[in-house]
Amino acid sequence: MRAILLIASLTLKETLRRRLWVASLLASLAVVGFVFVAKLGASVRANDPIVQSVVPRITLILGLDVVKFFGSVMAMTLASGAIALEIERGMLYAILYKPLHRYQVVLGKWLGVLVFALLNTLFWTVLLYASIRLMMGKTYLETWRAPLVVLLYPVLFGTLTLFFSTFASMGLTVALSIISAGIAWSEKPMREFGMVFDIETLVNVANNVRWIVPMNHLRRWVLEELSVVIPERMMMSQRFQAFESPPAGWEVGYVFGYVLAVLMLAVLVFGRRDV
Amino acid sequence: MTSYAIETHQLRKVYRSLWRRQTVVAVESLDLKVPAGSVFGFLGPNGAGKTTTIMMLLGNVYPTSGSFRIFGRPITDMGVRRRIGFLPEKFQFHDLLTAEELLWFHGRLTGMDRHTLARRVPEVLEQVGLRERARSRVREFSKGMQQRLGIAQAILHDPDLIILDEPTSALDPLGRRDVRDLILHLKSRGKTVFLNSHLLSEVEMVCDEVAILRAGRVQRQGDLETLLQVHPVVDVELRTPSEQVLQAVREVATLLSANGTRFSAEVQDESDIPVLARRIVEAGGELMRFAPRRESLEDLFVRVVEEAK
Repeated sequence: MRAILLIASLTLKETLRRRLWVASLLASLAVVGFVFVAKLGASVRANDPIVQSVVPRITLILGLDVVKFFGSVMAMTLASGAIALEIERGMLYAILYKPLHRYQVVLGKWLGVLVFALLNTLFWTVLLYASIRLMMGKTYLETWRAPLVVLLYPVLFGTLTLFFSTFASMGLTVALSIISAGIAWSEKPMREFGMVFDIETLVNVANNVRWIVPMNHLRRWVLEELSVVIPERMMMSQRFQAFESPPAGWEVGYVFGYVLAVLMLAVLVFGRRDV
Repeated sequence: MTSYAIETHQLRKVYRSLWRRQTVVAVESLDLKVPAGSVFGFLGPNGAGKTTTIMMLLGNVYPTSGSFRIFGRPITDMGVRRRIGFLPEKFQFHDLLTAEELLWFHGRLTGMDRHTLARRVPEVLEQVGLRERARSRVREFSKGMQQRLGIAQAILHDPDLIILDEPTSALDPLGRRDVRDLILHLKSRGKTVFLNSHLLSEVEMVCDEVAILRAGRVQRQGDLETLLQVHPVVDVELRTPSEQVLQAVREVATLLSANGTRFSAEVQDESDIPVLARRIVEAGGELMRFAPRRESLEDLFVRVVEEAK
């Protein structure tokens, strides 16, 4: 356990000293800026009670999307270099001969990357809620479970990227993680397009894609947790009902199992490769 | 009975391309015995398989076949790993850490406690001449300083086997002398040093034994003194050329080259040198110069590598 914590703290220390907090700061500005722009938009129709009720809620929903995006990108960026880059630069040679197992290196890197990405995601979430409270006067504490699900985004993408990093070069790792994110993102438009235009093949592809990178389960789970603030008309629409049904318990379980399986695969692959 | 720090048996490593269309044999049937407490030179031209062998010994690269033991134990044994120090040839440290922080990290990873590290870190920094730069970030260090820090990292936990892969490649002459002194100091403390270096003059100065590798195979291995004294060569110059003298020389030595009044002859061992001198004089030769030449490690290396081609 000590080796894992040592490697995790080294990863964290390096991340901080590489001034990645500057990127974090810029993302924070983007979150605050997003709320500010929404507030500005709503102020144009200050007397419309519907606008004043809907805009803060939409801001929260879309704001969490922004946080998800930054959290995932942050985790992917850190994880892509965690092992691949250290092998390429020869950093791991002076570590791997030490009395430790390779799985400890993978778990240490995983922990270090995720702690930083999760702390940032949490910070941006708090910032989003605080900005909505300060600028729009709304507090949505009843949605507190949604940000917790949002934290699973960096976990999912960070773990997947770390897995790529155990066998691919840095460049290939980045490419593979972008492709994975693309696959995950494509599911929703593919399904919607297939259903709207009645293209069964497309719907079938979307149905299969969601198991490759199970991001859509998380997205629907976040929406489920946000259901109390989703505008009623939107909730009642047939389209919403068709595409955004809450994930079943086993689908949520699949996400956790998926992360665990990918992490174990990363340990297995790194344990068996030549460095 | 000699105890060995490293023993390999028929160690082999074959690299295959992704689709297995191409294979490269990096190390072939390597049998190596490194006596404990010795300084062992591991030599060979570029691409001979030295670094692959080292990586296998450290458990970074998996052998295709064969086996090896470090102090009689497999490398998977964590107790054995604790007894190894290693300086890689191509490496980069986490350069945002200070020299002190880096050594603390490596020390903790080896299992050293805080009390020992508090004493040992300044000690090794002093040993490699970096005491003044303990609080400087590694990224501010020159390549030579980073190599010194690499050596500090390798000896920090006082290991019994220190594997140095090109330890002086980035060092100036003073730095090289320091490393040489360090190696001799380690030897005097009973440590085993496994040294891979292209600087043969240095290897010759510090090593007890050497192995010369070519194309993944050991071509020559043994005690350095013995290897270099197997066939002493004598350079001779006569006042006048004489076929009679050359004939006499051929009876006790192998004539390597002859050019007018000068020739070089190889004798079987050092005791034949006075015999050769006597024969030349008895055959009527007037000696102007008679210079026994000890083969240098570089001569041996070139000869062995050429022979193996």
